[in-house]
Amino acid sequence: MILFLILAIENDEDRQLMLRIFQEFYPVMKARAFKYTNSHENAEDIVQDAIVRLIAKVPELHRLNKYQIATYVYKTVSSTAIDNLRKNSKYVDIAELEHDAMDIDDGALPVEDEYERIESYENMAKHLSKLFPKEKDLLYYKYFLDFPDKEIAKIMGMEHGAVRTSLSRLRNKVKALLIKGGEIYGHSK
Amino acid sequence: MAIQNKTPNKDDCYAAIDEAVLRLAVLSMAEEDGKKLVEQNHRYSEMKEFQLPDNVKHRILQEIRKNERKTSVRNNMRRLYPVLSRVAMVFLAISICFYTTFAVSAEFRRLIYKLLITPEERYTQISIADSHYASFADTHIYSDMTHAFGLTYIPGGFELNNDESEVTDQFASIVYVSRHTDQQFIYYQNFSKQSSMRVDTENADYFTTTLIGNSEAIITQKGTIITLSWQVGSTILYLSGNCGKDMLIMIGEGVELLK
Repeated sequence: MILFLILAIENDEDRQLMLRIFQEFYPVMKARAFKYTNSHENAEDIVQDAIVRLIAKVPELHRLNKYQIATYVYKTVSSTAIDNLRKNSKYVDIAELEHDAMDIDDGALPVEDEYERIESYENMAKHLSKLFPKEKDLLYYKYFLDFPDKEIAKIMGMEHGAVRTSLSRLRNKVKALLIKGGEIYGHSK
Repeated sequence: MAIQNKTPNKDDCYAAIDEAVLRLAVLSMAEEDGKKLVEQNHRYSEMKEFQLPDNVKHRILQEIRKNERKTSVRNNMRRLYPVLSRVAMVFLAISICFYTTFAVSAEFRRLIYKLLITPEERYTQISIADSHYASFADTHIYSDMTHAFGLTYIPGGFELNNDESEVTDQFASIVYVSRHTDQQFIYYQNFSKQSSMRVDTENADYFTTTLIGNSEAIITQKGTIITLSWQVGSTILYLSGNCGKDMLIMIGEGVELLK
């Protein structure tokens, strides 16, 4: 069924990209969905819904590299799973989802050296690793998946106003981290 | 926040920079997380429960290859298109030149027709060769019309037609027609020195040569009428009829010098 959805894409380049994504990232998609549903059948449904969402975002995916696509796909599966769970409320305890974090064994990144100069774009990620998982999710939903605030509120189980406040606070925190870490910019209003 | 299409103030610019840097940082974070996810994906891909079914995997690979071929063909066509369009332009220019010349020049038209249909000439001029020793195997000394050539063999059923026959100092023209039907005839001619004759070869069915005695004769067939023409000494002999090629050659072989 999922394959037919992809094969129905008219544009050759879009279809090719989606085939490659599905072929390459199916294991991590299924594993992530399975974590929420604890059922292979339901995990398949989640993956299918996520693919539908990804198809709608193909123009954005074309602009990303392989690793960014991996994160995009992963976060899309997560948000799709949470969305489905909120609708059905049957797979796992919703409360656990409040702390949806990337379940990655990332090891300990050097977080103490706050005066390390940010010399490149790659180093920015190190400074953002100091954020809490939920803060990272908020950033991903807002600035990577480009979800509207209402959608973010629904996925994260927050009030619409709380999303705006959290984002405003988070922006300042990130800015402070980047300034402190690399002195990439600083200005006074 | 993007800078709108209006004169921005300082705060707008700072806000735009903040957002751009924030997006860049998130993109960097996504890339770093993606590297770990790719490794994680590799681990999951070895677990049977998270693997794609083989038939689906096979179908995906097929589709990917099909798309790659399609893209490759399209890219090649894209590269080939300017070359093809130039060739088409050159071909068009040549065609215009060709048709203009064809329409204007009768000589060019005739040349093209000749190339296409190789028509036979309207007639073939036959005249006595400059040196008969070079062309004929026999070296007898032949006289002129005082020693004329004549037919020694006529098939049965033919009779001389006096009205049509004529003998002069320069040539002899003798006609035999069938007693039973006017349709069949044998026409014999000979020409002495300084004479020439024309054989109608336009659109002939075939045009070839054979040996009559020691001389090379030209055979032409046009419909049912067959023509033989050959030279003996300084005389051109001509035989025509509709009694069949073999019969006409036999009559030709019967032509002898009557002293």
